[in-house]
Amino acid sequence: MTTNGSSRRRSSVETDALALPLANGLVPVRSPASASIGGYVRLTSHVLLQAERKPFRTIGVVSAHDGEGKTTTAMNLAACLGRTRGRLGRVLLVDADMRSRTLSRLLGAETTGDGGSAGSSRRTPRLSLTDFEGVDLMAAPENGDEITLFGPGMWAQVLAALAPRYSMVVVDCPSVLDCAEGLVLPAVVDRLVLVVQAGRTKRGSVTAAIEAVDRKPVGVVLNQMDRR
Amino acid sequence: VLFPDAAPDDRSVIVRARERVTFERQGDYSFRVGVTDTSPTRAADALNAMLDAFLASEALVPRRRVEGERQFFADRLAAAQEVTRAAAAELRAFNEKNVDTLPEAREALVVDLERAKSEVALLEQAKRSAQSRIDFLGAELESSGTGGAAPPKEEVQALLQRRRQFEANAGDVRRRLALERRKYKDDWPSVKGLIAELKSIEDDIAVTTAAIEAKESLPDVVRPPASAAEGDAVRRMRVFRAQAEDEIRQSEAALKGLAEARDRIQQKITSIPFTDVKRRPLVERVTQAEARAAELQRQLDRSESLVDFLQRSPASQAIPYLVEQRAVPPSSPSGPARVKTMVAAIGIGIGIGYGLTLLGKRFKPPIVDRPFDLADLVGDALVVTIPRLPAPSEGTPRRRLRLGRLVPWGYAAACVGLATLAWGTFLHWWPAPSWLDPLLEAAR
Repeated sequence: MTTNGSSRRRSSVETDALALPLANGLVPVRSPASASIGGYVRLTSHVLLQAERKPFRTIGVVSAHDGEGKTTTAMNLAACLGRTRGRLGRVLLVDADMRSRTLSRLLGAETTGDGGSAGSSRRTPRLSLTDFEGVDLMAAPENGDEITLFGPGMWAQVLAALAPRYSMVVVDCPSVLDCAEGLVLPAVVDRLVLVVQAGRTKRGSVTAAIEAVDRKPVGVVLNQMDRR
Repeated sequence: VLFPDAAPDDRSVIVRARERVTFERQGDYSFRVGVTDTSPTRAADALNAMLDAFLASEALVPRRRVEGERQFFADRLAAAQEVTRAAAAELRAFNEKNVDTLPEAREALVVDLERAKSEVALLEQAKRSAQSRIDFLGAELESSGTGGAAPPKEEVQALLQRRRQFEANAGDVRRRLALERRKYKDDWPSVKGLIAELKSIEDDIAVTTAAIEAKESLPDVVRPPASAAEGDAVRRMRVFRAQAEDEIRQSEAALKGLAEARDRIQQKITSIPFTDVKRRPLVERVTQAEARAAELQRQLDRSESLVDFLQRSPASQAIPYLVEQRAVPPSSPSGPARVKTMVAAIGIGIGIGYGLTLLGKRFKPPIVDRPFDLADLVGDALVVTIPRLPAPSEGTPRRRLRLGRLVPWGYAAACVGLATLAWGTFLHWWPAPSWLDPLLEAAR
């Protein structure tokens, strides 16, 4: 398993879409009128409509491989849901990618402790506020090694405990085809959003990912599509 | 001149030299000839040499044409004479085979037929005369009472004597046969010969006995002659009658032969028209062949006279061409067409490179690039697109030339273009080495 976070290739475009700083602190998100935010708004409205027809609380963001834009999509989806007027309750953004923990690092959840040691804080999931309006973050727990696996029962208990407190829970899942937990998380969430990177992801990978999670996604995000 | 070190008998050299000669027709009465070579002086020399050879050859064209006609007519005449001889031989063989029924023999056959008829008439007349004499002498003998048709006693005695001789011979043969049969069987050759001889003698005895009985059955109306004179007269009449009877037999034999000859002649005369019909095509063939040979002979004589005239007339060897301009070395080479060759090479290279790129793209694993690529995979799920944004350092998004995509094209175009350029250069600028001749020949 070569799931080192430092080896993961993330382009500058991904962070630029939200203008998020990599330093600590809360910075307001870019205006929704941005060129790239329109797709997320459409996805948000679609998710809300689906939830209106058949209520659900948890939605997972998955992709076939790493680096296709799951974290960006999850952040933007959560931000848009948090800005939705008329909602009942806050939105929880869950960083379930315990290998890279990108979301936790981006939003500064790794350093915000309650006085305990940094090592112990990483091993316990914690809730924290974010800079996004109406969005809380649950940082990813650190499993400590490469072979420890959080079973679906544990995640089901966590989500069952948190879901009644929030109007929507957005889970940033690991990639489906690159690690074993990528198969666990999609099984415990109510709906799925599939992220595909244009010009990189193969059709065979998309098919394999859908067959692996054994369910159709409620929405698909074609990320980084060339406008030409 | 074009290949100084090459062998003139080398066929590939001739072919390559011909490929470097251009012929351009200008109007109805003029033409232009060119030679392509790396050396302008050598090209001019080669072209002038070709021009001189052409003019020298053309000066002899009229005489050669007439000589060719003469040879043609001579060959045709020989063939016609051969045909005539063959037809004549066939006609001759037919005539020899049907010599008796040819139309030319009709007159002779008619004469022979008439002669046979006249001879038959003469013989019949002689026969009737002899018969009348026999009748007269028989009547005389019968009226004289000395025996008309009665045979004389000496004839009967002679027959009896003859039968006795036959019977003696038969007894002798029987004794010999009995002796032989004691030693041999009947299929022995000597026994079989004796049996056949005995049977022949017995047949003779039977014939003689029948003759004697016929002689003795005649009515006995004969009386002895009254006197010696009457006896002489009767004897002479009998001799005359025997002569007449012999004459009738001879006439009948001659009449039989003459009748057969007459019938044969008549049959030949009847077959003459059929023979004539069969012979007519042969005669016509001979006639036509002889006429054809005569006509060819006339044409050959005319050609002979024309050849003699051209050989004796110097005006007939004038060159029928006017040289407007002989070849001079050009100031600058006209070829090779470097620009054309390079443009063609680059065009071909780009085309092949583009084709190779398309092929590579065709066999590359499909990549999701547009929303419709996902339509059949995700079903009725909503597909949203997030455009690719430039990095903060790039500023305003702008179109960029993606050189990476052009690399395979340019590479393929350069490779094929260089190869094509080398090919054109190789063919146009330098003569190919001799060891490449089989390959070039095969390529052609």
